[in-house]
Amino acid sequence: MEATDLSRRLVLLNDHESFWLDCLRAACKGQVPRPTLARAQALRRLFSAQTPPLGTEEADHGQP
Amino acid sequence: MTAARPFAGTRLTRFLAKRILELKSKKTQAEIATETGFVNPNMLAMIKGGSSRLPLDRVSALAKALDVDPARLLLLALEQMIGSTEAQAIVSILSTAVTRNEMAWIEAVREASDRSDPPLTRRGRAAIFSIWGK
Repeated sequence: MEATDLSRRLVLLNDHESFWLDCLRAACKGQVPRPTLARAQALRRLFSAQTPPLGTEEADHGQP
Repeated sequence: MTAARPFAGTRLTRFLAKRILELKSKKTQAEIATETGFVNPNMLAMIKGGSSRLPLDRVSALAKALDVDPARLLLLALEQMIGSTEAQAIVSILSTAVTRNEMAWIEAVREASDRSDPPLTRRGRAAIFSIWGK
């Protein structure tokens, strides 16, 4: 069973981080589980193996 | 606090002194100042000593150089500038309520991207969804 955490705290996120958070919430349909080692590695692969590097292509902020 | 060092003893100066000391084996104070973009390398020493205030436009770069949470550094810089109560009020309005798990993911994105503040792209979105098999 995924570990969930409903306690919330206030943090300052910049615009890019807010979009990543919205995407995470959408992918998980609400409750975001903690990042397991395997999932964190998938994230690292995303940033290390992309050609062109992630961030040089057009940003996708979820608009249609 | 003296007239020459009006910001001495603030939470920011204590935080800076502690963090610079922690990083001593990895980088010098002058290197941190250069990474932050200070033209005068003594500027960081002056901020740490409380004779100068941390300019808000240097918060992000300094946070990266110190490898600390920029939001925390911003709060401390705002405290210096306008006082604790007012700083807390601003931060609470601008903040986002996140769970510990969500914050762990944001931190994972920061680490995986080497704190380059990457925009969310189509590939990034697809990668996030694929993590959950979508």
